Amino acid sequence: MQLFVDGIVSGTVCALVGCSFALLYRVAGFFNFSFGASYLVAGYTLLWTKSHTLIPDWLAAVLGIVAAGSLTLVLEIWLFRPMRRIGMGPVALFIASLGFLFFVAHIVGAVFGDYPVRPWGTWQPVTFFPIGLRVTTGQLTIVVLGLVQVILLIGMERIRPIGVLLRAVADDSDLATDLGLPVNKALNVASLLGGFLAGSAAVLFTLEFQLRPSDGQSMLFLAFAATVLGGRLSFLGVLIGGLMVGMIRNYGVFYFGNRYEDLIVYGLLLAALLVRPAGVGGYQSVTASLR
Amino acid sequence: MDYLIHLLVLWCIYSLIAFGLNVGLGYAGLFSVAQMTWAAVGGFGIAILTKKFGLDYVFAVPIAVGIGLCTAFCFGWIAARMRNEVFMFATFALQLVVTELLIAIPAVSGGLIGISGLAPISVFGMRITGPTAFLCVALPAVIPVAMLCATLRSTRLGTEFLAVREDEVYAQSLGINTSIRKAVAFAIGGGAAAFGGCLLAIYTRYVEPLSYDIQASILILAIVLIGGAGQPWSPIWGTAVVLFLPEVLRLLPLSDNAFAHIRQALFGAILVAIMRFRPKGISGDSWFRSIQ
Repeated sequence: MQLFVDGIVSGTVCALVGCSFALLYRVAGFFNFSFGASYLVAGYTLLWTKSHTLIPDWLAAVLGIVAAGSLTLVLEIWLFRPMRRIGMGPVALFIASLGFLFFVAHIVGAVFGDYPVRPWGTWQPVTFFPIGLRVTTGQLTIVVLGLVQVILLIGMERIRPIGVLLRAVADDSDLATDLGLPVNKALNVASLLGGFLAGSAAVLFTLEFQLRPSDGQSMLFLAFAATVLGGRLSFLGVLIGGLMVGMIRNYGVFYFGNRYEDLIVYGLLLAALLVRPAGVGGYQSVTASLR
Repeated sequence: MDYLIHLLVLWCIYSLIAFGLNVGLGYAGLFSVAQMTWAAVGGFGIAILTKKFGLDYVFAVPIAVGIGLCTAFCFGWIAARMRNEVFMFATFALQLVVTELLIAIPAVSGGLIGISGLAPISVFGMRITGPTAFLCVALPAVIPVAMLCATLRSTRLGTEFLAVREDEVYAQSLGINTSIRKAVAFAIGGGAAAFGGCLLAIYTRYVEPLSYDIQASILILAIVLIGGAGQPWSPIWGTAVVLFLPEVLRLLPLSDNAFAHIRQALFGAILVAIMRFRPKGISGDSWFRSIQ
């Protein structure tokens, strides 16, 4: 049971990053790996503000999330939109975002060093023991806030005007352009929201775990696996995929040893892609994915 | 001077691996971020064959390259039905799986430490150790393979690859079996990469999983994109940029760790800049039409 709880905790963080993927994948049609960069920027902004300034903790966390959101917004406007305008496809955008992720991850590594850090210092959270389980305050916060964000995201889809606009662009961006809908605005909103989600994932992650410059990549790859396993498009699917990844990793460590935790997830991802390229969630029609 | 020769050897080996990727990516339009996987097959292949089975390099290298060719063909064939984007995701997953697998099974691959102490090659009874001697051996081996990859473009098979890249449905309507063409292009790329991996392992005389990870694959991808994917000789220029540009950073007073990080960050920045400002690469081809 303890493994189950730990799996849910790390799975929630994974699902949050995965949701930012899914959000932008629906609207912009490509996997934006620069969310890994926002993740790092949020984590290390939090670290830096906490250790160098006197502003309160919650404000530092908000600052980190805002920094992450603005980063993805700036990237969308200055990098991805001009590329899209000259007719570059999802693969080119993906590669550019991947390059940006490496850029940020290694700049962070060069500035802050490779060793893991804990932005919250020696803050010892209270521990609950319901029915023989060990649940810390940090874990509880992660799960509650994470789930609240995903539920808000699912609810936002139904709210006018912005949720409906996002869905319209996601369903058919050409048609949305022809109807005179503000497609660029939708892209901006999606990037900003995605950055916020990735940033808050990083902030929540640091409540319980240590942060490392390589986390931008490792968390991102796991979230990528969660998104693909969850069918790439539906937030609920991504949430389930993320929880699944968290579970698999924790149970994998327990049964096979910690060398295999990521191997099982990636192996499952590869198998899923080879067997069912359309995604396990089956949201897309098969003909569309096979072209 | 030795360092310069060392860079020249790396230039040879990396352009060979990139020539392989240029066949898959440049000619057939298969976006692979797993090129280093096949270099790992070559490198670990000969390390295991020579250290564990006691084979000579004369037999070990062809076997390792053969394994690279076959596995690349199988993967390409299975993955050929995917469209561009999903194909790339599959290679991405493959790259992650192979790196984790090499780390996870120390009995075969030596785990994180890898396998060291590969024997130096000997030609006509002379042991080849220094970079200069190795360059003399590597060049005659690299040039034919590179020429094969480069001249492939103007052959009938190469033209069929280009047809698959430009319009798969149209190519099918001309009677081209696109799945097989994709698999063959991928296999040629994998074979060249496996050969490059063999040379790299023989040159450094050790193999470790982390030198064949996703970052290394992205580096190869950057080489091809910088040079200009689809241009027959572009990997040479791409490798030159990627290898020699970071050497400028050595003029700055940086610690080793910071240097390694800044170097990788520079690759990332170059990759972003090339995609943003000159997607054709240095030599230029209309490759980016294929990724729309």
